[in-house]
Amino acid sequence: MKKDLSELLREADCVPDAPDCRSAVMARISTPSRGRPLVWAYACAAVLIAIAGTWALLPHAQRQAPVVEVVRKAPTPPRQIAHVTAQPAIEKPPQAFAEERVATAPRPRRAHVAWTPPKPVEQPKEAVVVPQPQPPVQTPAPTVRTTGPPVAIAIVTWPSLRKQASNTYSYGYTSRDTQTGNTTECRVKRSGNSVEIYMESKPEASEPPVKGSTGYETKPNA
Amino acid sequence: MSDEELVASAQSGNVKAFDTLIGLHQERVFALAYRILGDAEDAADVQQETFVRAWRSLKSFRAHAAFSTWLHRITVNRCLSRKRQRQVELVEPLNDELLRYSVEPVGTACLERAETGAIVRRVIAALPTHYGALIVLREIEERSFDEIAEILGCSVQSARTRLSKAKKLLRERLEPYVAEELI
Repeated sequence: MKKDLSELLREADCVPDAPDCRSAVMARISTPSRGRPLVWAYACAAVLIAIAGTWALLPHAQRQAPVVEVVRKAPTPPRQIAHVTAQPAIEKPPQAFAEERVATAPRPRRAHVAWTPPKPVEQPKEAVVVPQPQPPVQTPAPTVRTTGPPVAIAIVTWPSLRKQASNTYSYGYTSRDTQTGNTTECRVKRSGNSVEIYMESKPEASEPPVKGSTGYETKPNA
Repeated sequence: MSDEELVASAQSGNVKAFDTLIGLHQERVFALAYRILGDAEDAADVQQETFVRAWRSLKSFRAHAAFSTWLHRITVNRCLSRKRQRQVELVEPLNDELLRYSVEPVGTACLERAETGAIVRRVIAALPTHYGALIVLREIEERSFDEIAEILGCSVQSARTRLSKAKKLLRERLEPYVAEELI
């Protein structure tokens, strides 16, 4: 005799007698759970880790810096240049440098210039070479990288190839502006592929008053 | 005392009242677990776990649903969890179970019924997650869809849709064993 699915399921249903679980359940619920202390331990550990993580992630600026006593030093007086010789307003660089223009820098500043040695001009082997005085090879304008604001511009023309034969080459001069009296000291040093330019411009140093002039006073005797 | 009174008393910490509640509900809990899992030992374990969990979360029980429905929800959840652990697979011919019934001195009709029962239990136990519970609750225990939705934590419509799919799958899986008995 054929049956519906529901009928078949109901007819086939046969459940054994249920065991009495009251005593077992009572025993289990009367004993304290063993998991509880562990839960507390895990919770405490999680809180500690969170605090440590937050502290580690805090930016350094927000942390309280230890108090440091800073002793202020008196400002050092400007150095006096011992011998200043009268020079023309614009000093011509030595002949090794074809052209050099240096803008006055208000403060000493170091500039790092990437320098690429110029390639020698190749000439055809069979060409007739006529000895002629060659002008110095113009290198591309060097790139000046400074960390501070651009306060100085330096245009440097390198000496001829023969002068650059050595790996290290340095040059320096001091110029004095007769109108303003400012003294500019410039030093250029090349070693390998790097060039270091040092410039310092100083105001006119006040010369000590000449004996007998209005500014010269003798100290009264005590 | 009614369920509500016993529950209120148990919620205030009265273990005796909870003991009475266990006595009232343990058979139905066991039957539900047995029908879903198809194994008496597993069903007994689930029965215990259900009452222990019920005691631990009794304070969170609100009387918007019947206590029995809430209890059966815990039972079904425990059954599904156990099924996931066990990964019941429908394996071949059920020889052990058939052999056990065949050696008992019973009549032919009873033997046939026992055989069919064993097959049905194994097939239901091997159904996907909620399907077994749906078949048991609706087709065997004949509960309303509202109650089924409450127990399974889904909508009535969802319960209806899933039930039709579950019945189709059950029929497909039963046919090789009881083809001559089914319409």
